[in-house]
Amino acid sequence: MRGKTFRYGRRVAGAALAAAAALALQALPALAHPHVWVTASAALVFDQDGRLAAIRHRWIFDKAFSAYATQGLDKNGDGKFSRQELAGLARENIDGLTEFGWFTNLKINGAKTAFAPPKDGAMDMVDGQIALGFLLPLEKPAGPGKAMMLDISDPTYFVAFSLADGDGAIALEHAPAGCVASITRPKAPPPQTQNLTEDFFNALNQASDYGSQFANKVVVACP
Amino acid sequence: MTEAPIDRATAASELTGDRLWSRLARRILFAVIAVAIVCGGLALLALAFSQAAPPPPRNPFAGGMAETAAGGRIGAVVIAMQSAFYRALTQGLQTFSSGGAGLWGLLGVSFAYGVFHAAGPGHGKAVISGYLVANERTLARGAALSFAAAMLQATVAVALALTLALVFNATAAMVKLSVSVVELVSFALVALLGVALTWRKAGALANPGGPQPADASCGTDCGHAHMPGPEAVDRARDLRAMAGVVLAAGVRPCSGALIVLAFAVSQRALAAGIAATFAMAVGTALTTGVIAALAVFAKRLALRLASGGSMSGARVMAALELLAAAFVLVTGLALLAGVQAAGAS
Repeated sequence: MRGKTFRYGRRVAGAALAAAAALALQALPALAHPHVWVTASAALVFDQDGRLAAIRHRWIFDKAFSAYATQGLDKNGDGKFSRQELAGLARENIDGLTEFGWFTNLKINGAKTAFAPPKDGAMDMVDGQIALGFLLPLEKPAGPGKAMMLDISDPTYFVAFSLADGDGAIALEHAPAGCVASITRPKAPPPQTQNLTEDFFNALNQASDYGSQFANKVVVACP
Repeated sequence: MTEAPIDRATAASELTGDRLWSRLARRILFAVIAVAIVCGGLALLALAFSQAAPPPPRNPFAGGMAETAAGGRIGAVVIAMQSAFYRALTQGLQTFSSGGAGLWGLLGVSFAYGVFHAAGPGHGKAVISGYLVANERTLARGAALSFAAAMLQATVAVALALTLALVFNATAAMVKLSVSVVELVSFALVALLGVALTWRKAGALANPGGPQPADASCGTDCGHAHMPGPEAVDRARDLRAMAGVVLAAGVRPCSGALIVLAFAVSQRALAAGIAATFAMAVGTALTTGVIAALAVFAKRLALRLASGGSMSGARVMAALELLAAAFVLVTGLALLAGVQAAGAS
């Protein structure tokens, strides 16, 4: 009698285990496959009182997504994309970004900052890559003499952000004297060559940095 | 001990309406219980992972489609691999179009991209493995289903991309709209397939040891039970179910393929783009096939654990098959609910 119960129990356990394993495979937290790569640069814009007033973004998209996003938009068929032809796309993108907080995380003295709706949204195409520019005003300008931390990233990793090369990635406009921006980059340098293999490993290194809180962070300190 | 006489008594009145009604009621009850168990299990798992889970991926940019990938540390590595291969793929396409690189290298990275792209949860894999666990299916069957679904996916991607881009000069927004329509159809197919499987498996559990559903307790899908020989009917039903699996799993094109094809059009390397898409599909088929094989092995393991041919063992197996069928149904419903939630916001 005991043996029978035991055997039955084992069967149930086996079946339950198989079912649980099958379920567990499907229910892990969701991340997106990255399909969009953005090289970002930003300017921190200060007002006359030396307060941080806005962030001016410029995001350059990868060539493949650029081709995808602009298909059918060359209305006059001249093989080029004018600002007018891209205006609709720019508006759509900026509207779509609202829900994601424009992928912009700005902390001032550790507190998250709210933004007002963006202005001056426009797109242009350079060398087969579309670029989206917009000005993101802070809801309330932040007083001078504060430590600011900016990070541009997509937590779900659908969009893979990286900061542009060099010091040009971050600019300070009308900043009070003595303000300094420092950039923390991912360990691997972004791809610079046209070499396929090298590009591959660079992309791999960059992508492995997903989730890293310290990738693409900018710290601005003012006296 | 007390059950035997009752069984005999009910067996005597097997053909009465009461008996049929109670069997139908039991069948419905089993189906509902299975769906409830699967829902509960998935909800618990979702709860357990909810702290670590970021919000579901959505695509902010007009035109693109977001897809789910695996999470966690392994998921991050898989994502890193596939994004690296994807970058290599687009880079390779560009180099190819400017006459710089060979086609084989491009096909190689496309294949590798397909392998890693498919290594994550997706409704196609859920449908195929659910179907394989719910039915007694061989490795060959699993491989054939995976391959057919992947090829269908590539074919749909190429057909959709070419028609929209070359015939209609469509924008990304229009591509996205067409994909959402196809997506809705495929999710509905998953749910329908789940309903059919659950109904059949609930019938098997409600009527253990009995012949395959007799006409009265039979679902809408076997109105022709009096057609030539049971084997032929089985085969026809099998083929129909498998066609359903392939359609449900493969009709939605993957966004990576659509982006690659649009890029290929812009680079005037359309043929290379199509070849890359099919190489991607072969890679996808490989990964899906491995997951399908795991499902087949899991089923065999469960069969062995429940072996002995005793009544209870058979019942446990029937219950497991019913749960797998319910899993397909719940997956379909969850996908449809997700579409609705996304549409509402």
